[in-house]
Amino acid sequence: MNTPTTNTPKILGFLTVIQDAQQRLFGGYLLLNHLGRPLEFHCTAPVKANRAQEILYGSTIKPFLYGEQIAKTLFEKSKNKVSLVVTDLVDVLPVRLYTQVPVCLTKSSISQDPQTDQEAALENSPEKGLALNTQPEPPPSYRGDLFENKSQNIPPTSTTTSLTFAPSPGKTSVAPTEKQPSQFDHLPSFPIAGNTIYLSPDNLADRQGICQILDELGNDFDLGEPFQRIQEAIEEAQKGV
Amino acid sequence: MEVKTLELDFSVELFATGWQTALGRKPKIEINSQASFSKVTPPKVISFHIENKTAIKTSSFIFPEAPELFKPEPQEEPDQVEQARQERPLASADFSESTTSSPLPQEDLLKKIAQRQTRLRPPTDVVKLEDRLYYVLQPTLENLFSGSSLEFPFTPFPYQFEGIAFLYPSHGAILADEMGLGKTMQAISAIRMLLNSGELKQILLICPKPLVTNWKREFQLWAPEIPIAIIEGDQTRRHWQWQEAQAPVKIANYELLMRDWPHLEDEGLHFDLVVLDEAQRIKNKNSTTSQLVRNLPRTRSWALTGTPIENSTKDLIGIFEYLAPGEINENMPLAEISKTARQHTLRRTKDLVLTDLPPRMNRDANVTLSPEQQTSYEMAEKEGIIHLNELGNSITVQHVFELVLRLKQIWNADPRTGTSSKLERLEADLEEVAASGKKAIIFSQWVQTLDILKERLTHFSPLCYHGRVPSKKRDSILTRFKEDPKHSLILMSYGAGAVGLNLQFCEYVFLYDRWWNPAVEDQAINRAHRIGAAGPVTVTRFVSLDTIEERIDQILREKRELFNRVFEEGDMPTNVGLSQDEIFGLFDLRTPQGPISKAA
Repeated sequence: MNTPTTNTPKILGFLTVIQDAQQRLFGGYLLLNHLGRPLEFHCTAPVKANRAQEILYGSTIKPFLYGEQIAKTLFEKSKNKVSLVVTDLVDVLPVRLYTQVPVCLTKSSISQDPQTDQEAALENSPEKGLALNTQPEPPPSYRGDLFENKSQNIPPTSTTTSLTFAPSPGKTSVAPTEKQPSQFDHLPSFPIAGNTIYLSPDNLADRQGICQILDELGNDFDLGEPFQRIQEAIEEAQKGV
Repeated sequence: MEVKTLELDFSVELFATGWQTALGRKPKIEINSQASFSKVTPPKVISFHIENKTAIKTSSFIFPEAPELFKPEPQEEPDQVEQARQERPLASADFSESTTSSPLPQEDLLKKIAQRQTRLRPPTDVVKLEDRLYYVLQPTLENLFSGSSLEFPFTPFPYQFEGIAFLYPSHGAILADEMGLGKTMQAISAIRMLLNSGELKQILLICPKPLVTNWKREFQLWAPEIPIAIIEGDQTRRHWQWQEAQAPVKIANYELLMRDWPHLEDEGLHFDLVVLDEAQRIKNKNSTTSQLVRNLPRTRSWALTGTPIENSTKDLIGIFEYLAPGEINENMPLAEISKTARQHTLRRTKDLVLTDLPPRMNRDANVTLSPEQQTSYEMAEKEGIIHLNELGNSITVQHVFELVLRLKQIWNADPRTGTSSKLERLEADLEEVAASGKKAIIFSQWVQTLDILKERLTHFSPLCYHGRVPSKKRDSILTRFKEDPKHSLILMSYGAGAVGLNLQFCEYVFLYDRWWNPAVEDQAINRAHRIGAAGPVTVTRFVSLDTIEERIDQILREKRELFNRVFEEGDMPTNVGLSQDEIFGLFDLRTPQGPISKAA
């Protein structure tokens, strides 16, 4: 990480949602300065959709909970003005609907591709379909947009799985199989400053601004690393509950 | 149900059959229809109101932004790190204690560092969630360093990053790494980061007087941007230095602390961190030094020592009185003491972390006294014991020590006849060392013995390094020893040479006589057996057979076992130091209070 050249150092927001073994969702939002030091941390109390919501929202439940409920709530809590919001979950991207700040997706250092990895784990599990929480595929409204140009590559019956708490990154990470392409791979992406950035096709115009911000941060800012901190912080916070 | 009657108008043909009259009557038809929906009660409908916005509880934590302090200004100041490198090449005369691998270009260094990930962990004594999260949410140490303007002159080892990560959040900590693993560098780097993060502003480092210059040099190397103030000189100057606000790090020695205490009390100085080097100095909690240190107003307390237990667990309790008062005491179960100690202590040994360090080979040289020595020894022992017994109830440990010292001198070299089996054996060994072009260090606890050795070993051109050698001459002596091939031997006292020197070019260490404490012996050995050692280090420990030196050797072994049990196994005896009983037991004496059982 090099010292930025502008007079106003950038602040980055890292937003993710973690699911524990009881299927409860915990949102975490970490604001870092240009040196990677924490400025703010916001986390939610556990959130869990009831059965009626699951039925009524159907395939839109995850973007609704992750993006419109948890992410939006957390985003509104921050005191500092962020230049860029980074997430490691596709379902958080809808938060872009509520802000002018660019929102992009990157792979977390916790697991290179948690969703795909857990799908692989599910496939390999003797208790197939029981070991992991499965959710319907992303809502058509978003998924259709995101995969607009490459929809032929989407597995027709794909499901998404949520992150679960794990004591160490290695325990959740299972090597992805070639038969299970990553959802990230279907998104428009571009490499910059040592990171790969994925964007919603709806917000391709954000690219220029994102490049400018990340260029200022330099080549050593690992955008995937802070998600591990968020996970550990949420676990730490839960110890006291 | 509603019924409607309709008149149907259609023709009917009649035939004259008579009975068909009835057929002439118009038919009457009734039609039943379904009920109208508008007039029935509507079915019940259940409505679900779907909240578009759910109230989600959140917790927020705001952290202070770290100021960027001590930014180096390369245009105005010379590159101090590079200067330090040039002043401190590994191949030249440099004897200060430091432990790192070789210097690397900064770019390569950053790449190497970036491959590791060392996270800060909140210590157990940090309870508040906000404070704990502050540490959990910090970037990895490697990222902190690579992302800031801070530079390392040398590549730290992974275990050193772990040591920094241990110290960084700790309010009460003992860094108890084995000698030679770089406690100094780890402490300086942690201080540097804490200063840069704005968490500390005033730091006091207290060390033994001979190590002050070493600390100064290490600060210049590892944290050149941090101004330091050495507390020294006359009283007026020292008082001014204590007030020096521009230097966040002040370095004082233990003795000065005692002298300047009234001034410190008057000024009401407060330190964010107090670091004690060679913290075993405060193992006796009743000593003046210990009491003064404990009274220093401070927020954080760190202790650096390779030997937190020198004799018994009381040593550790003494140090804990400084860094975490009351957390352990003599009445606690041993397992509990060990458990608590581990929460505050980080201890690594070379075997654990430096797998590529050349081996250390211990060799016990058991020597039989010469007939002349044996006669002198028996005579002195007999006289001594008679004298001790004559003292009756006035006998003290000091009296026994005096006898032991007298006997030890006979083992080293008989003052009456000048004979010495040890010395003959040493001479034979040194012939081999000198022939191979290697260097050797000989340790003794007496300058008098070192003088005898110097006289008898002139053909090896020995150099001397002990308390009688003026401080100003010491560095040049070490330089000559290192660079001049004709000097294959240096004679050192444990007091002057055991701590803080870097003599890894030596492959032989001789412990001519045994110190009472194995930790001091280890420190002496580690002058040579440390990072950068050219090859295996052979340590020769002399023991005179059939004397109480054998018994002392046994006690030293037991002390080593105690240390290992506290920090590796979690159980320990209450006291396996050289107790009063053990000392009297050396000569089968009785304590003033009555008969004693045979010690050890």
